[in-house]
Amino acid sequence: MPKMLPRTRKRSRDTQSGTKKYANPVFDDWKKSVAEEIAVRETTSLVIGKCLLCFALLCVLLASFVVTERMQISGKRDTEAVLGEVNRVLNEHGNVIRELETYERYADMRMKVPLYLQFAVIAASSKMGVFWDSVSFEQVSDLGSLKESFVVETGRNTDSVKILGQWKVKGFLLREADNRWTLSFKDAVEGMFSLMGLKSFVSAALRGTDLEATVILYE
Amino acid sequence: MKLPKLSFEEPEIDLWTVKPDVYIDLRPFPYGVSEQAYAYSFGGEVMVSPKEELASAVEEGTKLGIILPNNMIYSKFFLVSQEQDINDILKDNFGEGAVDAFYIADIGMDRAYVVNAVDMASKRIIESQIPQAELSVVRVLPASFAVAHFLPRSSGTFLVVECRPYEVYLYACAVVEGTVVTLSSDVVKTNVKESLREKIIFMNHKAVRFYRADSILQVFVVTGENAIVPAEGILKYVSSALKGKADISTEVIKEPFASVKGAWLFEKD
Repeated sequence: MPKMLPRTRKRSRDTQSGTKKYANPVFDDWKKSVAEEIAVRETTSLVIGKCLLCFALLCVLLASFVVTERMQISGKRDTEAVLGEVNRVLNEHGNVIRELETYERYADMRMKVPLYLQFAVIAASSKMGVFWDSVSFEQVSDLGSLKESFVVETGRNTDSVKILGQWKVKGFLLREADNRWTLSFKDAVEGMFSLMGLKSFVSAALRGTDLEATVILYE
Repeated sequence: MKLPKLSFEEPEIDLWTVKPDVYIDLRPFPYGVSEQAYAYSFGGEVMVSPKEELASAVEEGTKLGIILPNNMIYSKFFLVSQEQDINDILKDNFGEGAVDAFYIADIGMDRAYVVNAVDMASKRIIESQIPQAELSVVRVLPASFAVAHFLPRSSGTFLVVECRPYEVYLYACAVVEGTVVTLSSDVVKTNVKESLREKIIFMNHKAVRFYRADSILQVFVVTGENAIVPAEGILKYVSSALKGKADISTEVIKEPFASVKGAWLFEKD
């Protein structure tokens, strides 16, 4: 049987190849070169088709990976933004609560001279060319390391006086100053407190333009 | 992960996707003293060259379409019953030759096919005729089919009388579902007057009785300058053979290269 027959046999009996126009009996060795040409062309197109399909699948996979990654990053970013916002609000509330606690604590302090007037004295001292970073007040009687200086400078024993409170301030000067400025500062603050009928002791330490001072109020 | 097996099916070779570069009619044509000259065409003008000169016109690798005489290519109209398979018929009836079947239509309970085949003996003759070391053939058509395509479109059964320099070919054809089908063919070389009459009567009988087709009602005489018998003579013999059929129409077509031109018309169709 000729070699071309099995291929014909595979076809449905009543159907023809899409392009077939008539019965065309050609010996295999006659059509060898053309058949090779067609086979190469069809194989090439098949391989290219498969490659394109693989490439398309790869592109789809890559695109889905990129999209997923972007969605993940975007989701993460959104979550972080929400968390950040939550933290910010919580921090604000925390700060407000802390401030309220401080105000409450300050309000509870029953003092001869109200705290806000004392604060006005501290704030007024900034006229001497100092900017305050932090200002805090505590009602403690322990003078710590300042005990000796207090005794030496005031001539009073710590046991014989009543410590009303301590202002601790930190700040910086616009330009470097020497101890004369510190003495002026000390005199100014003590003078202002004395006007309100409060005795005070100021200990100030100057390191370059950085100023650290403690104001002890006593009676 | 287990990778799927790669499978490559053998690509189907569909020669109809390739157009021939040249059509050659392998029936000898007179050219000077050469006995082996052939008419061929690259789609335009038809030329005639002896075998030796054909080599220069048809280079290696040129895709050939060849037109064979109907006694060299087996061209038969097959009616296949429902129980039969055309492939089994081809397997049982054709040996080492090239064979192909073309489904035309369902006719009643049967399926109609055209089966064309070339046997090994004809193959050797064809290969000796074409001066190409390695043949590159994409189309093999019977002359009856090619000539019928040159004729005006007709319906029913018609007879083609092709008058050539060395012989007269007879084709009884019919158009089934738009396809030209050769019901029977024959050739007359000698004693034209008697032979032609007998063969036409037999072909008409065969068309009606064997293929259950209409009787021949239309006759085309295709003739050239070097025809063995003039057209008038042929018409006389045809009338004599189909005597008694009053409504037979005849038409004379003067064209020596009807087959090559018809093949290109079919190709461009």
